[in-house]
Amino acid sequence: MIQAMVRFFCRPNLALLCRAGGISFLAAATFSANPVFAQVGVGPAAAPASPASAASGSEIKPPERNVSEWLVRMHEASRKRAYVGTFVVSSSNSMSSSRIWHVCDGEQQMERVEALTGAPRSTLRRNDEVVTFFRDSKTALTEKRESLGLFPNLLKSNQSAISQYYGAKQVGVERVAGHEADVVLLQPKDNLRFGYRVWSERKSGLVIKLQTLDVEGRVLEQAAYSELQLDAPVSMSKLSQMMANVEGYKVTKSEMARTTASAEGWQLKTLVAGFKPMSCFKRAVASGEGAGAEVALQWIFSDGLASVSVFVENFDRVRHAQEGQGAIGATHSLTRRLTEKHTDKPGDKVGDWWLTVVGEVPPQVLSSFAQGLERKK
Amino acid sequence: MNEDLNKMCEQVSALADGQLRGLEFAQTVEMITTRSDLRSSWHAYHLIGDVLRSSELVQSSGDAGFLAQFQARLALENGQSAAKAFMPSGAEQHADVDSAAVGERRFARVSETPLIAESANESGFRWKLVAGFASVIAVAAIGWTTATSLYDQSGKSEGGQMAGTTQALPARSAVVASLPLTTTQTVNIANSGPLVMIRDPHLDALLAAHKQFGGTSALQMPTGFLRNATFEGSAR
Repeated sequence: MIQAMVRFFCRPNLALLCRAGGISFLAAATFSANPVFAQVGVGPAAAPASPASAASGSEIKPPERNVSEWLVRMHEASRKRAYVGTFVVSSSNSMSSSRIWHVCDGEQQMERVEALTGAPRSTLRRNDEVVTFFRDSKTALTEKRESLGLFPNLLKSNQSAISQYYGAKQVGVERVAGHEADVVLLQPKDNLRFGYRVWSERKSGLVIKLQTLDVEGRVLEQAAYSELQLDAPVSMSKLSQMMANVEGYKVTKSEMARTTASAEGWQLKTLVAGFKPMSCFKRAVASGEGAGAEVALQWIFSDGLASVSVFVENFDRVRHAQEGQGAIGATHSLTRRLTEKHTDKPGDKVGDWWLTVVGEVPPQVLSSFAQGLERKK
Repeated sequence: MNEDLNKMCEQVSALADGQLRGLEFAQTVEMITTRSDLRSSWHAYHLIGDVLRSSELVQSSGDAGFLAQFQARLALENGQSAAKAFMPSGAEQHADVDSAAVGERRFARVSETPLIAESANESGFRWKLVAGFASVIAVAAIGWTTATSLYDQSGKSEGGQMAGTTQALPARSAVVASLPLTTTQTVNIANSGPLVMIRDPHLDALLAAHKQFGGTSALQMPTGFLRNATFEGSAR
């Protein structure tokens, strides 16, 4: 009985500790590490005349890499390693986490993402094939994400594009999830895109933390491993089994057809600097449970780091209620009704559409896209 | 059946304490997300924590049912655990005597009945005892956390025991990191006003579609894929 009482009352108190004491303790522990980094940072700054000597000693200064070199390195890292970790994504008012398993045998890459937050679901990926299992609704969504195979070929063949709009600067070395990481700042050269602070594991180059920064340099969103075990034993055959095991699940396929904006009668008056059209699809978009799927046109643009999707649908008074702008973390959105009238017969509508522009870009870029879109003459 | 439930409550309780790791952690979180009864246990455990800390925090008027359930449970626990067992027999007698008499006697025989008489007259006697006991555990827990963490850090700087320590330290940070979420939810209940932005399901569907093809970026791969797979939950 005493035990029962002790257990009953102490457990919550320990939980309380985790919340109150635990977090402040964690914060304290984090801060205690910072002065060390501050000193490292202050060293070269205090002796600007001899930056090389500041880094002297056992450590050899890594070669300066440009944007493309950094990106290729980060990209290649995941292709060569097997790892297991806990991945946390946080923005101003939300936080999600998942458990990650990643394995690569040289040719094939497989990944399992087990969401720990929100609806229970696991996502399995083999190269560009993706299956997401939703355990509550017992549905498995299969997709082919062509864009996943796009890099780094695009990076290698088209080096100048990204470096024209972003610069890379190594700003230090920090420890994340138990690993030493190079901190690299990918800085936009204009205010039409966000910046990124990337923590790249020193030996492999693997991205272990990523912050998206707004034009003022404030963190909009961050994603990081809270824990990462590199070169962990991950069985590819086991992941394959899981991916193939759709028993008891209703398998649905993400329906989409490749098209071009021009074929659908759309064009952009002016392109937003750096953003190139990547691909265009017609796809079914189901809005919520039970709602019928409507066809939307999705036109995708990218400057190499950020991407923007322009969705065009036929206007529907019921579904398309409110124009506006919004943001979740770094992802901004803009919705607007678009009508076209005959110039010679005003009042006679020939088209009525609903436009939604979504992307990890500053809001004014979304406006530029919305204003630039027009019917082909 | 009953045993199963007990076991699950144990798990929830252990999760609230931050004692679970890896698969157990994931399974229990999943259990809580799918079962409302476990979710209320989860809230109850946290509320009990709040009660022990401060009476002001118990104003959970936003969820009266929850509070009623908590009270019922508290009564049950109190009955079960027979608080009398904690109470020395002398204290029971003193509790019956009126306070003036106790005061007088205390004055007269300070050395004989020093603490018992005083605390027996206090209404919060049981709470204090329990809270006192819990705080001992709490101190022990801080000590434990500090010790293990120091061990972790020193182990790391020496470059030894990589595998073991990398798992130990970050696992805890993952647990702690996940706690603020639930804290926010609890706060929401208390304020009875959700902080989460209510969004249009249609826009959510488009956001999901964008994320699917948000891979059109050098950084999106592989980090972006993970980010989207992790983040999608909040967009659905």
